[in-house]
Amino acid sequence: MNRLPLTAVISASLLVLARPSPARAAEAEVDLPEITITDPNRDLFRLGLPDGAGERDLATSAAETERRDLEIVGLFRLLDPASFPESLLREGLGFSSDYWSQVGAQGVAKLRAAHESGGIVLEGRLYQVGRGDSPVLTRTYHGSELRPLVHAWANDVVGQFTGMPGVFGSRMAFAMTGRNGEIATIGMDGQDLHVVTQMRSQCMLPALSPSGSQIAFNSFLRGGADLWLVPASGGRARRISERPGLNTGAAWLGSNALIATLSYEGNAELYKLSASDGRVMARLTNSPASIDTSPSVSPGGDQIAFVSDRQGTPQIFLMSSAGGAARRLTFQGNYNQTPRFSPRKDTPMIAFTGRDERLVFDIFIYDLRTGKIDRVTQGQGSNYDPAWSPDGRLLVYASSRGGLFLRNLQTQKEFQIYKGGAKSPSWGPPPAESR
Amino acid sequence: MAAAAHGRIRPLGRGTSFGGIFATLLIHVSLVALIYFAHVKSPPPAEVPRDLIVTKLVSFGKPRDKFWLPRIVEPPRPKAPAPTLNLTDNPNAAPAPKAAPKLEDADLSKELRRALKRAQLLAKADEDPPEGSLTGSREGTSTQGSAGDEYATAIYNAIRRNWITPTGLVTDAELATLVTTLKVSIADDGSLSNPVLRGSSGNQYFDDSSVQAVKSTGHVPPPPANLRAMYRRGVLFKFAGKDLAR
Repeated sequence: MNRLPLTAVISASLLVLARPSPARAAEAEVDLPEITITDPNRDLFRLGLPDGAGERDLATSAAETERRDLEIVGLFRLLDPASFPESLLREGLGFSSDYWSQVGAQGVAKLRAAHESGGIVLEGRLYQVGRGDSPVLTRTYHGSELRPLVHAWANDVVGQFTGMPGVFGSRMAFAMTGRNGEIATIGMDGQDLHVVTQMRSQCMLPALSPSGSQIAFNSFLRGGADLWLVPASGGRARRISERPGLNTGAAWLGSNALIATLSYEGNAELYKLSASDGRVMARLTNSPASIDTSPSVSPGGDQIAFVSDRQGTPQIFLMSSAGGAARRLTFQGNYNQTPRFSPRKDTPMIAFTGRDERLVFDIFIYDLRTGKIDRVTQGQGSNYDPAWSPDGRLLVYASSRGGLFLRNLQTQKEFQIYKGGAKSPSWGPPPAESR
Repeated sequence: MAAAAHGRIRPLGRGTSFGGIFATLLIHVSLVALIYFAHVKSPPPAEVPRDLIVTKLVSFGKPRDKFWLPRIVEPPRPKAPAPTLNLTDNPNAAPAPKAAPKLEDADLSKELRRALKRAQLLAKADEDPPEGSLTGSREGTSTQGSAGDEYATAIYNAIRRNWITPTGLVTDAELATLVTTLKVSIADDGSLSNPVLRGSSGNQYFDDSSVQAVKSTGHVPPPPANLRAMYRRGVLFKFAGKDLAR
């Protein structure tokens, strides 16, 4: 019986000890000063690209291709390897976050290339400074040629950073100007140029098919503006429309049909043609005494943007791909042309060429959701004939500066991929491995 | 006799309640556990932020003429060759335009003269002084002034100078909505501790840029004597992509 009071006293003491002390209660809320820092400086992500490891010639070639690809995509500021200390150059595929931080890198991409089993093996590692010494991306590629493997790595690096892989390995078609006015194709990195036609006459307005296997284009070989098809890898071209007047400016509607301008019934209107035999399937516009031309088909195939002077001056119009009433989109300037739909359905936009009050041509983008027009180029000669990359991230266009230029629309970084007379680029589908 | 029996300590044996001993032990073990978790595993103290106002000086410059809003900023002009290409693909198009009219031409319409004058002013856009106020400060960085804490301003300027967000990986539209909060301690000599993430923006590149800004800064001016204890405990840096002064 005497144990009960003793137990009660011990229990009560323990309960008192269990309660937080007054000093700790005072520290429960700490009054911390808060400073809001706003308006950051903006710059491209600083990426270190050390020389490749492995077999010397292969590694050098791989590093050059990698550098060119990651420069073109316009997302990165590539650090000069001459600024890397010896210790970093000897790292191989390893990584030290602290050392790379000291040279100002935010990320590092490393390659090793070697011959193996009759082919080439390319290993890639991507590191992010401040996120530990383990790679955030590791890939190994096998193939018989080095450039496609490096392109695949560049696409994966872009995908790691942006959530959407790059499109290196895709190709463009364009019309060469000057005496040799043939149709050519070129890699998006500006390498691997192929002249596809041998028409020995002025060719223009190439349009790559959705699969990238065929090119529709115009040629004056037989005197008139006729519509031709040629395999994108080269070969015999065949004429599919030679009607009186114009047969020009084709855009693909799916893989089996083309939207083109014909004038055999009077004035220039838009028609839907069969791609296999040029048979007219439907007439889409009917605006007498005006010219309707330069069609572009939306990514879903349900709308067509085109140029018409039905209201006085060449302006951009939009209509259903089945034809019918057309809605005018552009009201500023008196000469807007070459509309081209972005391939991205989530951000419906049309790039076009517009002439400003100084009579200079530049590239503009019309946002279909807001009606807002943004200017892409300015003060760099005349720029015209835009075409979108398959991922909608880049625009290619011709310029009076001579050649073809690529521009990243987010960073506005521009890169010349081709020097020489060129116009009307048409960008093909993404490379096969990323489709 | 009975009282003596009560005072004696009875040895364990017949009549001992083992159940009672067990219950007592259980109660005491529970109390010990309660003390242990109350003191050792107590939650970290809640941090209550207290906003410090940073001084912003209005920059020195000429107020911008409202006519120019929004300004089109031109990149540096390279020497472009004269256009040699035929820019129309329509065989029925009108002939190429004549040479551009000049301001000195006598037969210009009023509208064309105004357009040419505007084009000339645009051409000189990069020669304009920076926008600001004629009563602003040459060290100013804002279009609106605000008075505030001097030491907080020094910290703000030191860190903001080193804060770079990557374009291309953080779009301008995203930037306006992103906020990262870091807790940093400032030692008596002004050195910054390793930042601890207290609130992520949801964008790892924005978060990384904030952490990098603090690490690159490394040191700020030493805090005044009366504020040392406060800054030793820590300061919350809130990195907000939006420029609140605009």
